[in-house]
Amino acid sequence: MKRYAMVVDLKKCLGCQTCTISCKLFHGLGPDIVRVKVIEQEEGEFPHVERMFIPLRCMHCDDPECLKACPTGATKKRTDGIVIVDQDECMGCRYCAVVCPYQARTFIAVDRRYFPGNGNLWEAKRYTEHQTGTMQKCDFCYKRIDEGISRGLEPGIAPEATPMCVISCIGKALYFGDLNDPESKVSRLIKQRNGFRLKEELGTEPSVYFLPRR
Amino acid sequence: MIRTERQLYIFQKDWTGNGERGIRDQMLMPAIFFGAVSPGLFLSSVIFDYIPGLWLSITLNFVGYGLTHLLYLGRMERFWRGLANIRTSWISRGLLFNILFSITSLLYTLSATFTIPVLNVSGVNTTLKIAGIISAILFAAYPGFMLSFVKAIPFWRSLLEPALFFLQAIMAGTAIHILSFAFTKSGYGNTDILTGINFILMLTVLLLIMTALVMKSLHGEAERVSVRHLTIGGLSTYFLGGALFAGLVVPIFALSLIFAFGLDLQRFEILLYSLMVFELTGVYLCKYSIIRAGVYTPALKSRISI
Repeated sequence: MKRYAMVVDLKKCLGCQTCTISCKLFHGLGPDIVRVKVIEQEEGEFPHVERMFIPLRCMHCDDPECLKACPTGATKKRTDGIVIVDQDECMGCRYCAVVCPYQARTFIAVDRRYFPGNGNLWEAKRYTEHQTGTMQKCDFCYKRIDEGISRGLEPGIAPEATPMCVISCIGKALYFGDLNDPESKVSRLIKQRNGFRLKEELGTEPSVYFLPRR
Repeated sequence: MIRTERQLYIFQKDWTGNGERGIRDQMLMPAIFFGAVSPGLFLSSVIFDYIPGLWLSITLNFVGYGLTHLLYLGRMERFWRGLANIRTSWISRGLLFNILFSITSLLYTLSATFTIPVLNVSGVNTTLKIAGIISAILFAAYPGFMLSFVKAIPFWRSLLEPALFFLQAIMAGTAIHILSFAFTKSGYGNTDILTGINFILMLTVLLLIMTALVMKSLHGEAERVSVRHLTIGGLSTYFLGGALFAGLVVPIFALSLIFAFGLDLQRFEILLYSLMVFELTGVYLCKYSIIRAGVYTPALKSRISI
């Protein structure tokens, strides 16, 4: 059984937000709707101060709080570990957003566009794919992964079967692959560089690992 | 424009009432408030056989809680799907408790008001009464459980939350029961005992809130951030001024004087009703403040050595 995971190399992340933008473009997300956000953190005291950037998204937890909290069953966990939201089932109560320790969900309150009126052709086509009044979150581009697999491609290796943020990252800071395969790139990186997860004390078992800067 | 956020402690912003949908996003707090008042009033009315209170409770449940909650949902036409995950979701359980409460309270009120052959059989009537009481208790306490099970927000994670929400519901129920005497004198003779119960509940709630604040301020940093926000931060006017001072301290002080001097409550009707309005406002502001004060622990603090 596969369990897809992502690894973020904090040493390589430039904070350029290409992952955010490529995700927004690929999924056709309107203003203020982001699935990946990059946060900035300063550490140390003057003159030894450093800044670092941390791309955050849904952590696709193995024991997701959102799954337990969702009253409608719209939040689902696939057998490969990817947590998705079925927009046709979501009633927009936002409990999932409240319980998520990573604030990885965005509520589509209204249909807004960057361009005036009905938006440009891209917006008119893509924005309607998302239902207002429902939740949005990173889904590891699962449709892309499924399509790639059906063509015999390996997610994390073949770009066509890999999440958009990973293949668009200009610093090569993102890796994707099967956590259950000890020979996969993600498993090896986590082992070699002491990969850690955020808020592990909550016991949600996130599938996104971070590699420390040193 | 895509901004790079700087984060440490982040307040939850999904249940704040601020949103792009205007009035619809503000409907959550009235729903939570009336979701407390309605079962509280039902319990108070059942104990004192107060028929107008039963009808008012039903009205507040359907309009004050049900309608506002529906308006708050992003897709209100799908509310029925909310029953799909009773096994793990407190929202699902809350919806179930509300449905049970709506049905049993309505049937009991009908049987208490009118002569309906099917409902007025002794066993049926008692069963409805007991079912109504149980569902009202569950319905009143569920928002507290809903908050206390949020692992991500340490300030809410306490069993004091369900106790507080339940006691506040009964307190608000008795307050609106007393307030209703301004419009109907039916059951007016119970004013003294109701005021006594209400007074004890106010003292208990005040004690519970103070205990919670002290306990939380002794815990982690995120809890302390929440407590600071409630006491000296942006919510202090609502919480300290509204919920604690106007909503609890003033009514407790005024009622203490009335009780201490053995004054006749019925001579101080206007004062009593004013105090009940203060108390209800305090309950609303307390719930509002607690929900707004929810803070997430930072995603990264103390984990990364650079």
